[in-house]
Amino acid sequence: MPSSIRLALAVLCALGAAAAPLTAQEGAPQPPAGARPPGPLPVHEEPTEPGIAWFGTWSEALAEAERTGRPMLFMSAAPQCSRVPGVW
Amino acid sequence: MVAASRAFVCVRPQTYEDPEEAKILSSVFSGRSGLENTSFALLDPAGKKLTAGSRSPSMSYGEVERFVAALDSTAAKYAEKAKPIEALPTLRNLRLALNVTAADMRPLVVVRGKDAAAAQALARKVAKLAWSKELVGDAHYVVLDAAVEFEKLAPELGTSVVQPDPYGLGGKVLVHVKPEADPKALAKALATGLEQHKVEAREHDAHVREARRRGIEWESPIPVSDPHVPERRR
Repeated sequence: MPSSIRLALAVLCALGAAAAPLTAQEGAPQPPAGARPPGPLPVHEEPTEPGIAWFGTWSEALAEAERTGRPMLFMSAAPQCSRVPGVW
Repeated sequence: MVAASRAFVCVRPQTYEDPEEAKILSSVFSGRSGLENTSFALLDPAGKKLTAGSRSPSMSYGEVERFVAALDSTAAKYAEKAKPIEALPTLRNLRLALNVTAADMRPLVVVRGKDAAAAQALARKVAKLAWSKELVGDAHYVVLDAAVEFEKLAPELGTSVVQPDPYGLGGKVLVHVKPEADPKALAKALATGLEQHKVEAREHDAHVREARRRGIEWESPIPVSDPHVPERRR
């Protein structure tokens, strides 16, 4: 598997879902837009490993970064795919 | 990558959901049409960009190893003075929290107090557990100080572990513990709830088809402007 695809999958896993829930978001920059890569359809499975512990709002995260002196890992995402909820 | 992320304050704002936050997202990364579905950057503790903004880590780094190396080298510059994270990492409101946890297929911990002060006091108790090595990264959290919002799921104050339905429109309370529960009882309740959380595997296209059949649609306060999303699907 190409390493760029491995990174995309790893990020998707870290976002919380185990397979490839962000096809429309992460995959979009690769032409043709929105096209699914060859292979089986992505199946969402319950994550079995801990994920990234995300703050959900900018203001709370910034306050905690300032207080702790820690850098920030920033990754925004739309909680919908073509207006369907429950999927990135 | 998850291990490397622990040195950071990780933030994942939900795109198109808050006008003020959208300005921050646009300042991190914005395409020719404006705000896109995702944006990514590493920031310093004051929120200033340390890296160029992009659509995703894969766009910036290409390979997992390069991304992890960037996380590690960035974290090393701040490690000496970094303090432990103590705040509970929460989502904005119950509606978004159910959606996000459904998408992530994680359990949702709902912290509900009789008023804002009580809710925040309870959140501080939960936060200690949320950052423990046993539970970190296992769940999402939302703090409610308005009683009515959670009434449909559970009428009682306290801490609940909820399994959202597949579309995040509702959910089922797996475990509930009262606000006055001691730390040991709270820890046990959270561990039990997380253990009981189960979701069935979902196939992306079937999930979307079923939503269309049932007329399920997510409305965002801000119009979708991502050029990769067809107009009719925005």
